[in-house]
Amino acid sequence: MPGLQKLSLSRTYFSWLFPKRSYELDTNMHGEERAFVMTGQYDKVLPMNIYPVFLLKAILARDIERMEALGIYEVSEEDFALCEFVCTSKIDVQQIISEGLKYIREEG
Amino acid sequence: MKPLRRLVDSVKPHFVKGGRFEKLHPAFDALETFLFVPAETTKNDVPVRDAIDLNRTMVTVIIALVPTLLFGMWNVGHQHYRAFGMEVSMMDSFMFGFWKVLPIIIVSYAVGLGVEFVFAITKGHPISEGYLVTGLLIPLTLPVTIPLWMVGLAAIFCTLLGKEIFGGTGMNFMNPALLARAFLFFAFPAFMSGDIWTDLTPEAGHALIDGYSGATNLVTFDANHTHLPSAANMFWGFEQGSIGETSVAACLIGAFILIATGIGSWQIIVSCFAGAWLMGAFLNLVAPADAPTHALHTPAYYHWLMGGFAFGAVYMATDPVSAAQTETGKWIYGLLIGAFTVVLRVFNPAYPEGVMLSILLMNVFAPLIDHIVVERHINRRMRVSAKG
Repeated sequence: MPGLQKLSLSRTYFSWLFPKRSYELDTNMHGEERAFVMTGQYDKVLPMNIYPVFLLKAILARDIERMEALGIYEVSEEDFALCEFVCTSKIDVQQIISEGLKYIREEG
Repeated sequence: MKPLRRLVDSVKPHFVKGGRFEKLHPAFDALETFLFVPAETTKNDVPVRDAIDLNRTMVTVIIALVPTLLFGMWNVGHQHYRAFGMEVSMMDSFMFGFWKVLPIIIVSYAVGLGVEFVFAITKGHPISEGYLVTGLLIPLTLPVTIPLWMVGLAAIFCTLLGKEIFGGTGMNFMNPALLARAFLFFAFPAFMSGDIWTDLTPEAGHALIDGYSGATNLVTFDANHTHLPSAANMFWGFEQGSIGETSVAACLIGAFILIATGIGSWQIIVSCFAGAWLMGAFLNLVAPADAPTHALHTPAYYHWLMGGFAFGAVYMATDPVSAAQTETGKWIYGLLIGAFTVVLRVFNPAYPEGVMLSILLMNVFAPLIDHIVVERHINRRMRVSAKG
């Protein structure tokens, strides 16, 4: 069966049925960057009480008030490492967060 | 796979920067990424990425659509031979439907992908996989008798005005496939309602059976709900309707695949069904007691079985781009879709298929629902930080 060695938090590969199998790990992106499509993926791997996609969109829009309201002061980019790992759209989540923190430091 | 890889590699130089067909790079890129996972590696602090991408996601949805497609093809033939009172084998029914449905699918894909390619090439962005699903959803929501040029027109309409003017897949606020269906429904009503649900191509030596009626269940229940076929008939889908929507059983197989793989939101599917049942049960309570055949008396769970409700709830409402995005929002969104569907069906005989319009309506309201959820979240945060 194909996809048995793929590591994925989603259940679209059959590997999730065999949790004890060893995975084939590499640094391939496994896809190209796309717009945000899937929802609720980040929330599963982010421990804070924060709406990650809304925060990311506030950062992309450079909206400082909204970033503050959505809790940018409570996070650092490493908190979003798992979000970046699971992202179906292959978005550089950590980089966006770090841009947001930098922007808020310069402008705030 | 090796020879294919070699072929793609051999023509690749023509499509990269400086090559002869540099302008066509997005088209080439789309084909290459569809066939192979790109060789690009991670550059940031997260060295390993999840194996899923949008391509895999869309292919999973297509797999979930296969049961409805296969059943729909068989049912097209089944309804055709039934109208002429002919007994044929299951395979004959399927093949009749196969040859009727295939051209609709081909036109939908060819025209829609064509528009996407043109946009990708002129705007120089990569082609998104969204249309892989939309292109199959459009035929499944149409009657089999639809003229092919209308399918093409709908594909153009939904790609252009449903998606590309907002920036492509991920930016649209309404489900493109449903938009295509709504467009045809309002632009060419004569081809989207009435006696058009069964292919009545004449059969040599056979005439239409006596008492043949082209009315779907949604029209029947409005006049007299006791004339509806048995619940089992409606559940398995031996009835007239759009190609892919008749069988609730096939839709539930699809729902199982979507939920098991985590691609479709189970919250939305469950809340759609719950919303329809609750509204149906409420209408039963207020139904006039002296008119037992009135549509208000329709058993609540019949709304799950009639028309395209299951299809809409499973495949259309769960489109993550146009649905509500927050967890709480998904429950509200689904409940309202279910409830509005039943209200439209019962109170507005002009639009028997309420599920299409109520999903589109809730697509428009989804950002508002999310806004309310997020604002409440922000207010709570503010209170906590004020206390601290």
